[in-house]
Amino acid sequence: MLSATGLGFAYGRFRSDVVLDGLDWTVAPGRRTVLLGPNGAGKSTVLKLLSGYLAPRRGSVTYDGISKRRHLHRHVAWMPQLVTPLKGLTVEEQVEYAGWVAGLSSKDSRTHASVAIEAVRLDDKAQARADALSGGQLRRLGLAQALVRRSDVLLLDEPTAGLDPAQTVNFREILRNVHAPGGIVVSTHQVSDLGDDVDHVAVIADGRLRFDGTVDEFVTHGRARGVTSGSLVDVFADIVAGGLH
Amino acid sequence: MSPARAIVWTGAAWFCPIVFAVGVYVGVGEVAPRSGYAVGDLAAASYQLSLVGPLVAAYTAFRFSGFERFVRSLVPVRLGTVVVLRAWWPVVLGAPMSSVLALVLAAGAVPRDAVSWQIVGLVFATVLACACLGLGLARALPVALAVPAAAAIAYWWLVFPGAGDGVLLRNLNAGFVVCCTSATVPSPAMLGGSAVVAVVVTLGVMGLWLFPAWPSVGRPAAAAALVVVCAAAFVGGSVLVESSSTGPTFQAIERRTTAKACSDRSDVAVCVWPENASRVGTVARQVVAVNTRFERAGFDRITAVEEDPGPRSIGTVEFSVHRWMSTADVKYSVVAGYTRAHLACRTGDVDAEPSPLEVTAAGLVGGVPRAELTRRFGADTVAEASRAVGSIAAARTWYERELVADGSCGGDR
Repeated sequence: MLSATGLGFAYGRFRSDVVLDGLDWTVAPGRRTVLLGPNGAGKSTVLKLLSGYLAPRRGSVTYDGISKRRHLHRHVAWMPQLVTPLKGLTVEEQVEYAGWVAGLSSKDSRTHASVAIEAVRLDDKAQARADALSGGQLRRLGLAQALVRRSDVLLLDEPTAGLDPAQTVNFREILRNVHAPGGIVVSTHQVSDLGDDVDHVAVIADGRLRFDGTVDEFVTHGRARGVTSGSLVDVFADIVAGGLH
Repeated sequence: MSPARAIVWTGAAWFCPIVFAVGVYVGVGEVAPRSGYAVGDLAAASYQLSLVGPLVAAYTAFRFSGFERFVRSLVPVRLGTVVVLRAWWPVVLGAPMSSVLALVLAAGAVPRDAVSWQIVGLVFATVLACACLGLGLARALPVALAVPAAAAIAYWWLVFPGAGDGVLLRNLNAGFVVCCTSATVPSPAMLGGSAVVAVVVTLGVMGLWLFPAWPSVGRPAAAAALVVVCAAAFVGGSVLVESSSTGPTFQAIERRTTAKACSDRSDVAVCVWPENASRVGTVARQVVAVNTRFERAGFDRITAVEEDPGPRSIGTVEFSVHRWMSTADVKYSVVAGYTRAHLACRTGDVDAEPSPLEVTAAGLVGGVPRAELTRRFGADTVAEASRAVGSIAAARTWYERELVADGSCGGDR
C-alpha cells in the first residue's frame, strides 16, 4: 500500500511557500481514485512526493512500509503534467527507454513498450518522432511511459488538462482499460472527471486532505452538509470551503 | 536505445569527426616540423586541447540539458550514472577517442614508451573530464549559462595559468609547447597532477549521479556540489605536485634518460637519441668530412659527438640531428658544437656561446656550405670570416688565436 504520513513540503529558497502541512493519506489499493483540489492546492506536489520524484521535507512516504526512494521508484509510476518528448527519438524508442530507465532489461523494455503503445492507441505513431506529437498524443505517450514500467501504483497528474473534449473522452476511454494492483490516482481540478469508472475521491485543499472516501460517500457527504443542489461541484466547493470529512 | 541509435541521437556521428578535424588542424600546426621524438611531438600536438576541451564541454552542456530534464521526469530506478553513460557514451567516450586519434595523427608518432602513453592517456582523460564538466554544468545551470560556462571553465583550466607558475595546475597546453625538446620529458609530477585533476572531475561528476536524490536537488545545490568536485580536483592535483616537487618551484619538465644509440665506426664516436638512430651513418660521414678539412688546416680533429650530452662539460661536442635537418644543417651543427666546446675550454665557462663570426669562420674551414652560413648569419659576417680564414695559414693562426686555450684542456675533442 502506498501511504503518506505527516507529509510536509514547502517551495522557495527559504521554504517559506508551504504547500503541504501534515498530510496523511493512503492510496486505496486496486481502486481508481480521483484526487480533487483547486488550482494550487498541492495536488501535483502530492503526486511528486508519492512517486519519489521529490523528497518530503517532513513526514514520509512508504510503499508496503518501506520509505526508500528507489523502492518507491520501482513500485510507483508517475505521469507528470508536462510530458517531455526527447528530440530525435521515435515514440517507440522513447517508451522503450522509459522502460529501461525503470529497470527493465532491454528485451523486456522492447516487449513492454509495444504493449504500452498499443494500450494508449499510439501504435500508428510508434515510428513517428516523439517531438512531433500533438498535445493529446503527448499525454498518451506519457501514459505509455508510465505503463511500460508495470508498476503497482499509477499516478497521473492532470492527464486531461488542456485537452479538447474529444481528446479528453479518448483519454478516459484508454484509462478505463488500465489497471494497477496498488491503485490508480488521477489528479484534477475538475469535478467532471468523476466518471463512472472512479471508485474513490480524495479532496485536498490548503495543504491538507479534506475528504477521502468513495464516490457515494462524497455525494452523501454533500447531502449531510446541506448541499441541496445535488451538484458535485457544490459538494466539492463545500469541502474545500471547510467541510472536513 | 541501440548503440547505433545512440551514436546518431547524441550527435556523436557528426560531432566526433569535428573534434577529430579540429584536433588534427590545431595539432599539425603546432607540431610542424616533426622532430621524430614521440614525446615532444605528442606534447606539442596536445595543444589541440585548448580548443577541443572547451568545444566538448560546451557541446555536452548544450545537448545534455534537455536530456537531463527528460530522464528526471521518468523517475529512474537505475543508477543515474548508468543512465547517463548508457545514453551518452558515444560522446563521452567518442570525443576523447577522436581527440587521441587526432593527436597521434598530428604528431605522426605512435606511442611506444611509457611517457608517450602517459601523454596520450592524459589527453584522453582531459577531454573526458571536459565532457563530464559539461554534463555537470547542464544539471547545475540553465542551458544559456551552462554552455558558455562550460567553455570558459575548460578554457581557463587548459590554458591558464602556466605550468611553471606553482601550485595552480593546468593541463598540457600552450605554455607546455616548451615540452619537450629531445633532451627532456614531462615530469611525473606534471603528468600526475594533471591526471588527478582530470580523473577527480570525471569521477566526481559521474559520482554525483550515484545519489538517488541528485536528479531532484535544486540548481544552487547542484552548482555547489560541482564547485566542491572541481575544488577537490584542483586541490588534489596541487597536493600531488607540491609533494613531488623537490625545489621551490614546480618543474614541468625534467631530463630525458633514454639510452642513446651510439656508433664508433670511422674513428668517430657518434651518439644520438634513438629516434635519430637511422642518421648515425650520415652524421659520421659529415664529421669525417669536417675532420679532413680541419686536419688540413691544423685544427684538432673531432673524435666524438653527442646529441644533448647533458650538463655541458668542457670538451663535449654537442650537436643536433633531427629528421628534418639536411646534411648541411648537420655539418653546421657539428661545427657549432666544436666551436662551443673550444670556447668553453678556452674561457672555462661551459655556458659560453661562440659569436656568429667564430662559428662562421670554423664553418668555412670545416666545409659548411657558404650559402648555409650566409642564410644563418648574413653575407657580411661570412665575408669577414672569409678574410680571417682565407688561407690554410690564416686559418691556423685564427684557430690558435681565437679557439685554442693555453694548454689547460687542449687535445682531441
